[in-house]
Amino acid sequence: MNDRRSESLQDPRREGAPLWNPYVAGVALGLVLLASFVVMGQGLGASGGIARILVTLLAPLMPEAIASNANFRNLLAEGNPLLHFLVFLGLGVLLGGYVGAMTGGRIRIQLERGPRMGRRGRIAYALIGGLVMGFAARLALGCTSGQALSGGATLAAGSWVFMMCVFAGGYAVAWFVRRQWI
Amino acid sequence: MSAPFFPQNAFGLGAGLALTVLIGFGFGFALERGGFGSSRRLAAQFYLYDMTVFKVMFTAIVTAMIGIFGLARVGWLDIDLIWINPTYLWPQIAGGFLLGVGFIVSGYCPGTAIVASASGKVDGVLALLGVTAGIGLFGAAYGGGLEAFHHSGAFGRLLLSDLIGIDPLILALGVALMAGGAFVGVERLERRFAGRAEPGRAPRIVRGAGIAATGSLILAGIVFLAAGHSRRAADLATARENLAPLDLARHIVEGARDWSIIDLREAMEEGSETIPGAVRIGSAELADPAVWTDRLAGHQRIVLFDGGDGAAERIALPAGFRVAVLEGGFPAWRDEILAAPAPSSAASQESTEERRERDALRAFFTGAAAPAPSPSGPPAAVKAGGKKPKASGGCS
Repeated sequence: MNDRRSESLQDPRREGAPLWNPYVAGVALGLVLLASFVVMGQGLGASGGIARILVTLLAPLMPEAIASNANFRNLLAEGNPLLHFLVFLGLGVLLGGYVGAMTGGRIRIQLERGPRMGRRGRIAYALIGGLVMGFAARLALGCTSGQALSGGATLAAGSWVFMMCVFAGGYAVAWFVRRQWI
Repeated sequence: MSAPFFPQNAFGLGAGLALTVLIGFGFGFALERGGFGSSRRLAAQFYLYDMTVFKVMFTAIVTAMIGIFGLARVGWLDIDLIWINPTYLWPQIAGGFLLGVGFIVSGYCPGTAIVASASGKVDGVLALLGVTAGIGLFGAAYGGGLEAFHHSGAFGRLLLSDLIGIDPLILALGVALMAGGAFVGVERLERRFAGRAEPGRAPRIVRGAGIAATGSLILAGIVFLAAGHSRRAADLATARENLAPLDLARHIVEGARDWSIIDLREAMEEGSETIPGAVRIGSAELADPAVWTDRLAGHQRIVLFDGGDGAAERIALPAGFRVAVLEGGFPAWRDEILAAPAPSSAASQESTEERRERDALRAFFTGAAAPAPSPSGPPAAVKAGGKKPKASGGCS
């Protein structure tokens, strides 16, 4: 049982091609981020694209509720919400992630969890954790990509505060959910 | 032309979106190869036995930061034209903390959940569904207290280097040094906790995590205090300045899209005459801070113009926002830029060069045939007077 962590995290037979050295991966990621600023004048982001897709899906179902919602209506104010940097960026991330996993031999349908975590529990945690993150990303005007990574690289004061608080939040509750991971 | 290219109309929206997919591809690929497609590896960060996430993230931040401020120093990148997240201190503190909680519970952040979904992780797909529901929940709960909180602690475009008062490139190099020191530290942590992450040893690990959490909170506290001291600075940053029609016209002709030009005139019909690139937002709408946060924050400059009735002077500015008011409103624009000069006026005292520039500007804005105002010619989007395709940026 103790071996299961090392098995799933390190065994090359199960994990496909070796991952990049973290510092190499970091430099690669940093250069992509730099290219985004140089070419498009803005950094990377994930949650904003998801919000735009959600609004596009909801708008025909509940047009009045969306039009009167102060948080959503601004996404529709500049025309088609899907014709936006963040939506196309998200598509690229999906493609890049797929190609990376495919060429690395890491495509596998699985529910990733620690050795002491049940299936149902993991499903609930993933959903609830996601829900909290979606709410948090809208509240903070960005997620780890849009605030911590992109804002951090441009020395935006609020983004650095955000980043410290993400680490603080994670470490603060890590103990309570340890059964899920270790 | 120096970078950034898209905000200066170097290419159209279609090409921009195609390049964006390419950038996203690189982002997704690098995340996957860095190991960010695995929730257990991401979560391991918080139990100190695998600090991959920390190492990749800070290497990336330092690389991009030195690139951005280095390119700016040699003049290849105009820092004023790139989107920098505006600071909203309180929602960023609360949102950051909540996002950290969601991260350790779900095992992902929104971006890595997309990568995980692409490689077949069911928990990644579930986290992504959760994120979507959370975004919807925030929208549904929006209004009242939440809305006010969402706009609180506004400092506008505030850089850490401005806050501390040192050169951004020096600060970037300083952050790189600190990151290097932190990497040495986390390598030691990993060696210490490697192989000790079995279920029975969890308490020992979490003791370390508790220290880390305390450290983070203290650090956050320091930033708070610093931000408190800068409140006066932010108040000073809230300002209204005047802009001459000629300066606005020159800026539009140069093809830059980084200014947000707001037409305040309420009773105008669709399609009536306005300044190219301007967006109609009435005074009443601007009373809503959400409009400022979602549509105007992050623009290098916000230009307001009215119908000459002084409405632009009466708009209440949220903290941290600087606006430029077009002198004399639209009537002045019409007289100075669009109208032909009166034959016997002060215009005759202008030098030939000034007159030539005015003629070129008038031709540009009225559509009359005349020599192109700049060698590269007017950018299509501005010439058409259409909508600004500028993305509002960030993770907004």
